[in-house]
Amino acid sequence: MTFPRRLYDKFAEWLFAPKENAAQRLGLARIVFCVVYLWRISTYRLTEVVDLPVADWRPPYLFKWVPRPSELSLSILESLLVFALLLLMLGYRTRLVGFAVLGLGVAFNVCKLSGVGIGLSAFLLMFWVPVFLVWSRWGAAYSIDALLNRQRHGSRGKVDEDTVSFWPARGLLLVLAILFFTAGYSKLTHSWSENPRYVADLLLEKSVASYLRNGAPISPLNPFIASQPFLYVPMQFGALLFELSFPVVVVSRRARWAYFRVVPLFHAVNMFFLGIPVIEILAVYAVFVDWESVRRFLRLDLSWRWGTGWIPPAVLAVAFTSAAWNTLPVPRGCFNMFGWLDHYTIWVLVSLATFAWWAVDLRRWIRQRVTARRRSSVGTSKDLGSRPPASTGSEG
Amino acid sequence: MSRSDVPDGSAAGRRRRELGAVAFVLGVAAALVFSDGKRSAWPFSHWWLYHTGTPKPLDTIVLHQVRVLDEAGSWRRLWPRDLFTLDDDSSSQDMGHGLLARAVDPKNARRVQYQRALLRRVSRLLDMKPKQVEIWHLTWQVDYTKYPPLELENTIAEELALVLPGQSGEPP
Repeated sequence: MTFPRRLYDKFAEWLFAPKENAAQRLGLARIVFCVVYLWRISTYRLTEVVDLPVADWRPPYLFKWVPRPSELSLSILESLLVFALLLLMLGYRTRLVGFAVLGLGVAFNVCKLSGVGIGLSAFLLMFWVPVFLVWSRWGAAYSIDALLNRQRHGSRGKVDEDTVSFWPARGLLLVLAILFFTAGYSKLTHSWSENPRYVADLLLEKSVASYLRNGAPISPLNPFIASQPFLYVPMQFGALLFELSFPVVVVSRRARWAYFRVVPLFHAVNMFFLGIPVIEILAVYAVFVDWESVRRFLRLDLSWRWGTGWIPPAVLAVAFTSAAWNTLPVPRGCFNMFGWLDHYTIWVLVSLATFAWWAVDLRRWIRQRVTARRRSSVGTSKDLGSRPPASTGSEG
Repeated sequence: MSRSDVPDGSAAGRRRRELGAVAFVLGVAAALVFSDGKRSAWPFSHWWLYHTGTPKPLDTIVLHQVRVLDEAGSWRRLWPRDLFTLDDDSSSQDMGHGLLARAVDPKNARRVQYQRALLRRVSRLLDMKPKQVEIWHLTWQVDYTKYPPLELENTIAEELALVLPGQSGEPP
């Protein structure tokens, strides 16, 4: 076998490895993705772009040909995107609607960037997640499609869930690893390796700048951290090491286990100490959370027993919500809790959820240890009796 | 190797789909790696964030503020971040800052366009026709040893940079 062939096989083996509960995980990830997306765009008013002078319309290089849309077109674009996202959340015609979310989201983001300037956060949510997940069968579970499929094909519709591929999520993981590496590499080759006080000074300067510019509260710990080399030096080089080594998550299951338990706090620290939000990345991480296990842990029963008669009214409600997106405050308010859920409060919630995750892991680990100890003690007491040793099961 | 999770079908069809998926993932990854990484390469931009320059904790800091006289004769104050929502995902929220900075910059040949844009934005944001709009430069002393390092109410200087008489908010 030639080397390229072996390389291809190795890569394909990684990419197509089966994943337990893939259909359910992706189904729930689809819902979480839509909720995060709708929350995010509920705080934006795309029509603000037309309030800037025409000369300030600067699309990214690949979209130079896009003219500045009218206010009405922007308003329609917003409503269509909301319509597509709500349908995707319900899982109706998921493949088609997924492509619509990708196309409309990119259009939304291009219009946003053409007025605001190019940022490196929203594209995670509006481009990178859907560009991969549209190829997945994320509508195979917890969706109207799955419901209709089971209704049409009976138990055969259920079998479909077991053949769902996880490769689009692994493709996204590869992109995430590349992005993290580029973040670390650019820091390593520029100021971070030359200036050991980079983070210390950034903690002082950026926290005040963010407070004035985006309203993020200033951390009272910043002056102390910035005065203690034993704190700011590990912070600087720890962050650098974390970003540069992130690609190990692609190849190592253990690294994935560890990194995904730390990375939400990495971003939360950026928010609490520097006022840097990067909230859209939550949509990327949500793809790798085993939501099915979370659902089981919380004992949530999401099975649907009330037939399909509710589907036409639900689609009508979705159409009404989308049409009212720019006219009534309620649809937007429902997704951002009327302004309460912002770029600061979300990181507080995510940090608490991460600590809860750690606590669950710790509890599971303790239980396993206790069970193992009990088993070994039971085994020892049996060994001490007159009976012969139990069968190892190897015969079976 | 188990690739049973690739959707079923004929072996040739499955092989084609598998090849397509590999080509897609590698193609996208290659586009990202070999793009020049600049923001202009969006969406294939690298995460070049906070990697250059030298952060300088300044002793004084300056910010614009918009003061709007409404029809009832009372003044409302707006920070640059209040003007737009579209840049809420960033820490610097440059959209409002950029508009105000260009509107007051005497060297900017197109500053009148930005002044009109500001009037239009304020009118739409507050849903009224302002009688007068002013842009102020506010300066604070920053003491990083104290908490908080500055207090919004305690400016050390407030300078009127521009006065705009209220208009109907012509499109810029």
